[in-house]
Amino acid sequence: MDTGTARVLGARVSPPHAMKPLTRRVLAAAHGVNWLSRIACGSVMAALTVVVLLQVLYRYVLELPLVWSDEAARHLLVWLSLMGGGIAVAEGLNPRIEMIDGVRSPRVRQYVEIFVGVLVLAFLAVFIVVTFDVVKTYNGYRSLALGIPQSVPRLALPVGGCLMAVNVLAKLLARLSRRDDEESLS
Amino acid sequence: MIAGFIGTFFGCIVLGVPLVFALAIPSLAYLLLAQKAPLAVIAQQMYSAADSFPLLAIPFFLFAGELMSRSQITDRIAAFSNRAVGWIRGGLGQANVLASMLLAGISGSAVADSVAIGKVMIGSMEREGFEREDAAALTAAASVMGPIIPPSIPMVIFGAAMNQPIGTLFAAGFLPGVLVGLGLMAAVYVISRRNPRIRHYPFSIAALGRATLHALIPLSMPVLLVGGILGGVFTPTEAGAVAALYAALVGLLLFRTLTWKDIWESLVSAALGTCVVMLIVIASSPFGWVLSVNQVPQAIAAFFTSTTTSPLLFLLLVNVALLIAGMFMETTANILILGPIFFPAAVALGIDPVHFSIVFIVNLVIGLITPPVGLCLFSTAAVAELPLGRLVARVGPYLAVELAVLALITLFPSIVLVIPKWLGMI
Repeated sequence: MDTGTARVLGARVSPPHAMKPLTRRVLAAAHGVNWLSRIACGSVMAALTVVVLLQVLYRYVLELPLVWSDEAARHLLVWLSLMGGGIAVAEGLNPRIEMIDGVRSPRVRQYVEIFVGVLVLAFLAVFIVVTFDVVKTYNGYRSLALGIPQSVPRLALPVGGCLMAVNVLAKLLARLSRRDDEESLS
Repeated sequence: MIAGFIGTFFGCIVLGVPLVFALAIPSLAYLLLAQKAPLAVIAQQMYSAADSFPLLAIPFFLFAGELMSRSQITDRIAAFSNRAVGWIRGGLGQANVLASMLLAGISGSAVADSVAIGKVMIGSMEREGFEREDAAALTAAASVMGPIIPPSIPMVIFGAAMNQPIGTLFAAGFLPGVLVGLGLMAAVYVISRRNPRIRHYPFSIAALGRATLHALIPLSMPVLLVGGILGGVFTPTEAGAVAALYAALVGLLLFRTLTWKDIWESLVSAALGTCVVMLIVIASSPFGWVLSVNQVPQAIAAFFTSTTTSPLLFLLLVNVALLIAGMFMETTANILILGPIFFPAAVALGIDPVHFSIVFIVNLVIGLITPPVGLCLFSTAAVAELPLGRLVARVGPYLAVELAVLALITLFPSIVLVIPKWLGMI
């Protein structure tokens, strides 16, 4: 499943030598970040499975319910929900209505794509700041069962925001560098 | 203000902004402009949407489904279905429906089912005289049973959001799901009469016996999963985790069709699938909050209840509204946004909450095979390597069957309620 930069951002990306250094660097960063988050996703999913299976074992077989498993599982789910966000953006897994893709004019399509990219990026910037503020306010509180700071599960929100932002930016830059190619072709 | 909010949402949708962001962007803009509440509200709303024990069932249903399809359990289920019903007129078409029904008892996601069955069945249906378009359309239509027959991801989301017992919803979905299957089989029978090229297998008790023996372990999985939940032994989450363990052990040790690499890839793909669903859950939450702060659900509910005091007419109106919504929007978002609008009004009119929940969910999952936005049509068209339009043209008769089942369960609540009552759940 591991994919190169060109695959991550769809097959339509121009060859690396035709890109500006910034674009190349952001693409490489997105690729690296996605490689790491793929490993993190699988590991969190594995941890979640172990936690819930332990919960079943202790409750039904040993008849000794665990106090921490429920909370740990919920925290892992929050992380799981956001950690794949960057890959979901890169691989276009998030459902959308593709009406705009049917527009004939490539120019209109391109302007819309760039507008959407900038809009989503602006949203993510505010989202990251706001959610990080919330994380800071929860730093002092400890959770009931595990005793970890309540900021730990909430940290998933800004981290997920960053993962998505890197990929949205990479897609946007790749799209911008594609324009040059298309124009020189036509 | 609220008009601008809804306008921004539709604007984003039309421009092709992914649904997650189309839901979140207007919510954030609203909080920024209306100044009614601190921005931190959006973060809190999103966090508490994800921090949920019932929703934990989603990753496990996806994980178990992934393991099943990678350990070639789908092939065994398909082979069993061929022998069990492939001798009826319509041959492999009948088998396709039965295989989808059995797989629906393991997996909770229609899109995953349509891909799994599509890969195994479409090619062989074509060899047995079906047109490729018809085979693909049937696969898409049959995959709709996935989230109606338990386990079901939409029911988990609905139950968690509307505070309904998920086990009871699972029990209530069983009979409507089987009805969809029987209806589709009848449709295949009728359609095949007009196509003499469609062959069917001779019936052989020995072959059926062999196929059953081969499929015994995969077939025991829905019994374990659904039985464990309905019997009140496990919560859906725990049942999902146990089912994943069972599938991994069977695949690794008994069938030896799974490698550790398959397990790892199943973990990653279950994680990504969870992320895609959960991002919509997370983004829907502040969106719903903005609507409810502006009394939108109350206004719509008041409109509906002032139009009619008859529960039946209300259900019909809701059905029409949901069918239209299901054509354009994804199921999870529809459940989380429209559920809080219609559910309280239905309960106030004296409609049984479990009955309403099932009508609501069946209606929305039918939206998986209605154009323009039918996720199962997309996934099956991709597997069958057909243009979407050719599939849409053929899905009509099967869609009609599913709408007929929807009408039946709307009119006769007892179809939905008989199994939960029999199990003593309500």
